[in-house]
Amino acid sequence: MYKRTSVVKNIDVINVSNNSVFEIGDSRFMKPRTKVLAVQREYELFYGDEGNFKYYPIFTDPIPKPVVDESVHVVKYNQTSAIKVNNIDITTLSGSGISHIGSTKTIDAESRIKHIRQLEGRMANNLTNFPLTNVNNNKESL
Amino acid sequence: MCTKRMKNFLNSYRERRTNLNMNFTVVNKQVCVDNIRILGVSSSSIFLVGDADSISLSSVFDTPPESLIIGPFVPLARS
Repeated sequence: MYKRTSVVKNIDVINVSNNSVFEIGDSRFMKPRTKVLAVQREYELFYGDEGNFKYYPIFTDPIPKPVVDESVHVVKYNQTSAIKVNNIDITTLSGSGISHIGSTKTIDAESRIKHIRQLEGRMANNLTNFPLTNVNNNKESL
Repeated sequence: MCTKRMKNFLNSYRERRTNLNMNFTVVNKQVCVDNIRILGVSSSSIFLVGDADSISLSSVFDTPPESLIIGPFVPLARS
């Protein structure tokens, strides 16, 4: 199918990270994938060998996608042969984000993110003031 | 008798559906933009200056209540 030309005079991108794509020019197929396990702890303590994706189903479960089986006959008329942009400012591209100047055929992006927060137990007990010891004592007496 | 008629109807409907064709006409007029300012493109998002035939973006984000762990700092999913 006939595609238009993209004309950008000036573009400014500061940060490209985590499987992001910044592409100038035409492409056919793009398939970025990201898996993020974000762990936040009350104080800094990180073991070196943590984070095996296979223990969390969110990283392996299939994502349902719509099935396109209708026969749609698409006709495009381009009145001008170019898309013109004077200036673009992008601060950051992250987590399978794509910035594309030019035409493409298929884009299939996927990102899976899991957040885990860990708080220290002693602190939580003080905050909630939950009488854990009393409950245990009652159980023993019964 | 009724079921036969229904079957016939269903068959004819299926036939019509397979022969169904949708025509979709797009007229792209002139696009001219001066300035674009974006702070972030993240988690399977795209910013495209151009044409595309098919785009499929999916993102899964999980912060359930049980992801808040209160207790000693045990290592998570050690390999």
